[in-house]
Amino acid sequence: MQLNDETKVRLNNPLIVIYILLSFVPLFSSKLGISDVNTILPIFYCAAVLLSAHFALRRKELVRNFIPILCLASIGAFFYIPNSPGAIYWPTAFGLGLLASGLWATKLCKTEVAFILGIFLVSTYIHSVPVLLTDYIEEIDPYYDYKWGMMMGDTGQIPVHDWWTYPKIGGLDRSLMPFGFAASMAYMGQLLTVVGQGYHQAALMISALAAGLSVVVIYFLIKELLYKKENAHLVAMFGAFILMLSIGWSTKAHATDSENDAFGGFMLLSLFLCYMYATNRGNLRFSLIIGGIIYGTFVTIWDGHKIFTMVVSFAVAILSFFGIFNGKRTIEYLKHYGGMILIGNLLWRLVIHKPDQIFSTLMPSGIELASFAFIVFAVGLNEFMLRYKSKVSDHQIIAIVGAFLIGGIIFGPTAWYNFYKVGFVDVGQPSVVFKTIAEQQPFAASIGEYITNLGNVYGLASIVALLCIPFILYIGIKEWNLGDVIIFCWMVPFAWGFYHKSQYIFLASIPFAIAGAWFVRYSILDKKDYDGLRIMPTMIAIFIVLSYTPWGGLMTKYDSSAIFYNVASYDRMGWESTLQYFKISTPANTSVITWWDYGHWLTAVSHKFVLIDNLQYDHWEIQDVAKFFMKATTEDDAYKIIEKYQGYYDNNSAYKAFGGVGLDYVAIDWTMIGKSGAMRFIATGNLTNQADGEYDAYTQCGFAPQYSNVNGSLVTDDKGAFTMQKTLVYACTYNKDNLGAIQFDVRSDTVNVVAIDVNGNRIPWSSWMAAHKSSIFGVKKPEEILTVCMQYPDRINNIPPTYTNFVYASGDFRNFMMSRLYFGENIDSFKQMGLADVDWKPLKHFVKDKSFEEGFVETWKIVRNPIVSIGNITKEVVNGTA
Amino acid sequence: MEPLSIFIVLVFMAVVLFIPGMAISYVAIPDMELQYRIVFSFVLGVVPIFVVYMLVKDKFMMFNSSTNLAVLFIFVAVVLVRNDARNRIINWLFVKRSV
Repeated sequence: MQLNDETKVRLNNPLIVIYILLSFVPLFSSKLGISDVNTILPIFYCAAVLLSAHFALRRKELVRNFIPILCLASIGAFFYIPNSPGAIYWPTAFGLGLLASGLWATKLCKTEVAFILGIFLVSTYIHSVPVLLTDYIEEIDPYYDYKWGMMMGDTGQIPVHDWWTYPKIGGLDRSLMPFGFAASMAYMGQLLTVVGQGYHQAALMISALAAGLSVVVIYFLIKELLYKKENAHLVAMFGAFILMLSIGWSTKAHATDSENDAFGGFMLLSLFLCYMYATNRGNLRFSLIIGGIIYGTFVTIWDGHKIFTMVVSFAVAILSFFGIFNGKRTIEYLKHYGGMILIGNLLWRLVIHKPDQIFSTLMPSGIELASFAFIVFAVGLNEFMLRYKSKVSDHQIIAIVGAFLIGGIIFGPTAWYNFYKVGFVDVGQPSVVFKTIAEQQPFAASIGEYITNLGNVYGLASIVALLCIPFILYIGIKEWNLGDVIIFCWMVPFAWGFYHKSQYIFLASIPFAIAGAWFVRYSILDKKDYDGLRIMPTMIAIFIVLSYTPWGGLMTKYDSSAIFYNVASYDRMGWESTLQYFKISTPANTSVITWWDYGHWLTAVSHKFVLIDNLQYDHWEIQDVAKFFMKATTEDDAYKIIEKYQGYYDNNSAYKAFGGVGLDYVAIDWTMIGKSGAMRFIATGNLTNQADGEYDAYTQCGFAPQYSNVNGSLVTDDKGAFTMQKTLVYACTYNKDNLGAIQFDVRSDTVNVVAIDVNGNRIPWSSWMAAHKSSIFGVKKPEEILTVCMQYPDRINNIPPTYTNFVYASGDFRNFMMSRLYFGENIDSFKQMGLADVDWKPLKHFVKDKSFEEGFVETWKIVRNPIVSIGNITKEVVNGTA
Repeated sequence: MEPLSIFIVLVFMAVVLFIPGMAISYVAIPDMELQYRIVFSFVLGVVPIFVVYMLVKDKFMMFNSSTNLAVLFIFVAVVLVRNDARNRIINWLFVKRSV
């Protein structure tokens, strides 16, 4: 093959070798056999920086080579500071950036190709890092799709019913629920067996792939939103960069998260891109075929299609209104929008329908219907008002308005209610159960706090995005650009929604990235702009870009290294042995009563039945479980709930297919102490009128080494003799009794306990206990807790919480089943030390089964026939005889 | 996961999406710009997942879906592609007739 002269000149460049070779070194740094990577490699890269600068200078291309040289310097720097958060992962990210920017700087790649290559590689890499840290699927919710994907792979069937939860209502009908994402994981998992991988690996990685693809799609989307506008490609590059390093975006878009959000985000961006591509080119065939296919597929995967319908409908409506005065028609926008939605609606019904249906007749969502009606009305109005200027005939206008009226009359009330209620205004949830869920709570308490905290999750560009909102709308109307108005209509509800509901942190990251990049269109165009006003947005843009890099942590609070640490927490790992126990050592038809947080884990990993799960679908069943743990103060009351739910299993013939389901186990973990406030709130709330329940909870009192004296000091005792005394202080979380801390003064032969209230007053524990009808409990014996804290005060964060915490309970909290079960085993030790004042009889129906991870999770076997004790013999009562 | 396994899984999944997506885009829109064709290929690659999955794993649903798809195909072919049929329907819907 003969190379032409131009190519030969281009390849005759030493920088190519430097950039390409050194971009791969971080990937293999641990395999290089270098004894001191943190010294040798920084020196090596420092030399490479000097050498590259030298060559670039000689070739008079120093400016063009600035980015790859900066990448080289960054690699060296991050090898040198290994203790900085994320430092061990950044060199590889900069290496991939070096590869792409090096190809561009040496003119082997065009700007766009190099940028897309670089941003795809870096984004995929940084969002894959969590899987280098752990093989666990992250947290709790992602196990929902994980469960269904696994079942599809195992059984070869699309599940149409969820029998594993909510026995009171006979499980959940899934025949009309989107299963596309789970099916995709199952499909990928089966194909991956060809290369020695499997379903679990597909589930671990699919969101990282989506993260990589999404930044590419958003680049093209922004270009289409600003179609033929100046600097559109710069805005697109900026926006893609912002999204890639957005902490808010990474909350879902990262490896180990097998929830459908990240892939849904990728499809949402693709859907918008499809619409804009078709609209900008007037290509109806594209919107009907490609748009229809993407829309239809999207509905089977994620709920986000409602965002598309809502945003575009509002944007077109705004333009339709102003178009009346400007003499601009908007029917073209409707054509593509309507085509995509109608074809898409036909397509998704092919795959989501009940088994006995030929075609799904499921009503589209209220938001989708209302949006469609709204856009038809707006465009119809626009056409109607402009009819004397246009060639549209009367009967067409009548048809459009008629369609709107029919739609409005039939679907109007419900649709508009949903539109109003869910979409924009009442983003908070009035339900007793939802009030206890963190992600349903507002992101900030005030506008000031919102703006302050916004930068921590979306970076500086989010503040710019808020400031730009009115300008985006103004320019969009002035320049008659649908893309600008779409950005406005996407940004406003999510800026508002995220303020009121933390759950939108992921969804809002996309409009914040796009709107935050919008101002870059006013950056410099050519050299003459260096002396004009356009230099200001250019400088701001450069500063913002730097603030998103790991260097940004030095300038702002925004630390993009947080992207690497979206991994399973201790809760998940602490449960692993329990989940494996249930999976392997209990019968397939076992059901477990525990809090809803662990529902998906038990069904997905252990393949066992639970009463409630993370869907929080049936609030009545959630309340029953809450009552079991946090309202029933006697065993008999609690056991009635067990009997009731066993009855639901026994009386539903469908469960016989599983050999009959037995509600045989209780599981409690340490975090349920922290969740006791939510459980108590739900247990005492009114689900009929959604009146709040009681605000109270267990109090955790954790060892505070800074206030303790574990080495001891000499004090005088009652007889005036010197004695060694060690002091251990356990600081308490907020509580109604105003208990601030518990202090244990440990001497060789006595332990004196003092309660310290929030004002610093010291009260003997016996007096406090009597006055407040309270007790101190623990999962471990008190002497074990005190001993561990005395021995390891410097390693307290690495010790299981059951060894470093006491639990304070007052009033009825002393006698709830949660207390009787979780703290029952060692209650005698607490009573002997004078810490607890309770009168618990031995449990008849609940037998301690297992303790996992030093009591982090404990299980009890439920015994149908009561246990009685005769002398030293304990027996189960069967048919009235023991 | 090991870095090599991560690389294999990512590349494999990307290819599984890309190749069928590219084929669909060529069949559906032969004259698309290349960079957009590449971008849309990844999202269109999801479509065969349903077809293949149902074909192999869930034949009952596949039967239903293929029946529906045939009806839809006829509808699209007749109404949207054939100008004469489309015009007849539009005329029937919109053109005023003498009573």
